[in-house]
Amino acid sequence: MFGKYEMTVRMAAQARTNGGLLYLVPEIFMRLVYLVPLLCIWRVLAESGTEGEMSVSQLLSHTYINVVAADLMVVNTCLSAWDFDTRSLELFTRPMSVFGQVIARTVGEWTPMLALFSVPMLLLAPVLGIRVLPQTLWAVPSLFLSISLGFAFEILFYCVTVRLRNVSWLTYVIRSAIVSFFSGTVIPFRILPFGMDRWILYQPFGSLGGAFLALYVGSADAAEVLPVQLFWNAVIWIAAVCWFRRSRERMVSFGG
Amino acid sequence: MVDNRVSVKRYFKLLGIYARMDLASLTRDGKFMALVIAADLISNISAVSGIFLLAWKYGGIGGMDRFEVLFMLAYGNIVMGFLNMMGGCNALFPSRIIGRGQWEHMFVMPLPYGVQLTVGIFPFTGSSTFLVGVALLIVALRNLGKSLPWWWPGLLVLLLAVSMVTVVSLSYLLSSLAFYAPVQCEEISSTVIYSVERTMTFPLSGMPAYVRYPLLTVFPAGLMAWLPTMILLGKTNALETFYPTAFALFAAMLATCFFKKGFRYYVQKGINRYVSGGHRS
Repeated sequence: MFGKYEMTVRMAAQARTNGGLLYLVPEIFMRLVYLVPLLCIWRVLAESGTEGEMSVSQLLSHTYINVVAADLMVVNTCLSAWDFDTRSLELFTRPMSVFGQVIARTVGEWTPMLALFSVPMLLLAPVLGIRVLPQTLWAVPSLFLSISLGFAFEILFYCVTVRLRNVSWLTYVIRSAIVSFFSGTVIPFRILPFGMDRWILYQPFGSLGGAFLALYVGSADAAEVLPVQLFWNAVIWIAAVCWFRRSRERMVSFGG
Repeated sequence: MVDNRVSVKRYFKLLGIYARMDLASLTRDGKFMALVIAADLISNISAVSGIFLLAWKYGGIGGMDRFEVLFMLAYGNIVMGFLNMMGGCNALFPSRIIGRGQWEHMFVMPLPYGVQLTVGIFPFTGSSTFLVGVALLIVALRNLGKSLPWWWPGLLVLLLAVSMVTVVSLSYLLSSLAFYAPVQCEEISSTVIYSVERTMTFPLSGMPAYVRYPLLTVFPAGLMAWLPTMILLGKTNALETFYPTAFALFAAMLATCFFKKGFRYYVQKGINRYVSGGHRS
């Protein structure tokens, strides 16, 4: 039953490296160029004696895990990619579930970077003085819930693309912009000013990677984070499935 | 040989045509227009809010106070916003044009390459980053409480131009690789531009030398906002003041040289990315 999905995972993984592993170098470079200065910012802030709600060790771990496992923190699938080449139309032509294909394909696309970037970076972390072990094992279910919610958001935003008759670039920009700040993956919620830390965890995007990272580094309690993640998973998945059913027949694609 | 030279009047007429098309695209549908404006606002606010909120929370970062950080973010927004606005037709991403074999389309246009690349402006749908940058710059300046000399606006414009030359040069320099490896390097300019955009928001003040120097030389994201900000705020010595200009000139010369070399290779070998059905391989 799952053979065809396994094959999709394998094909997607191979597609990432078809042109050779050199294809992955620019992405690895981008992540490193982003990671190193951000780690230094936390150290600079710590040196100036501004350590507050989170210790510098927690901040470093938060940033490091976010970059190392970036694909899992905020899920991006072929649905939210710029759908100018009819890739999403292909999903409707195969005798497989659309959701299943999207999930299998995305997991496959994660695999090369997880193997070639994430694992080596995790092994390297102790050398850099960064703690990468989770503070609580509740981080494991939290990770699954944040990934699950990420897929639900992908389907929801895909419906926006369909409804707007394929202005996929616009949808992509809106989605990336909202998620980059409200997911709490770049700047942890706990250190936000103006009392934002008190409410920002409870908005739906807060249950993506930011919630997992807060548990991982021990800056939030599982009793506070997991119920919120469960709630948003239920709400967003129901909304995504219902809206997808109503939107799929409006799908138009031009290709190119 | 056909004379493809374009007069200044014709150039501005072409700019006007693209501007009108952009306005028409924005105003074709009220719902679409509202969404574009909302998306742009959210996108731009999100892009600068992270670092600024950090600076606000901690009273500044690494020796730069809150509004100096805001000034730096505004400066970066103006640089990238202006380039995005003016480089609408992938002029800022030449590896896409080369890698997709679209430079061949430019052969048949009765306009010089430079004109084709620079007239495709998006002043209405692509100006939000620039406008947000200008607004943030005004807010930052009003709160910095500095009295600025008469020549300061001129220096600001000059440094903005220098930063733009640097980022365009980097993009063209690395895009030269697309002449040799069109499939692999089709998106190399995106990697450069997006990496610069993400990294230029980091204040390098107080950072260790092993981070600061690479970001001012090998991958000069620090020249997109941080060092020009320090110059404009009077926090640099004479050598540092002239460094961005010298670097921009060097990068522009290097880019010109390698791009011409790659182009000569391309003219001999070509790039055949399209199958007979019209799809790109």
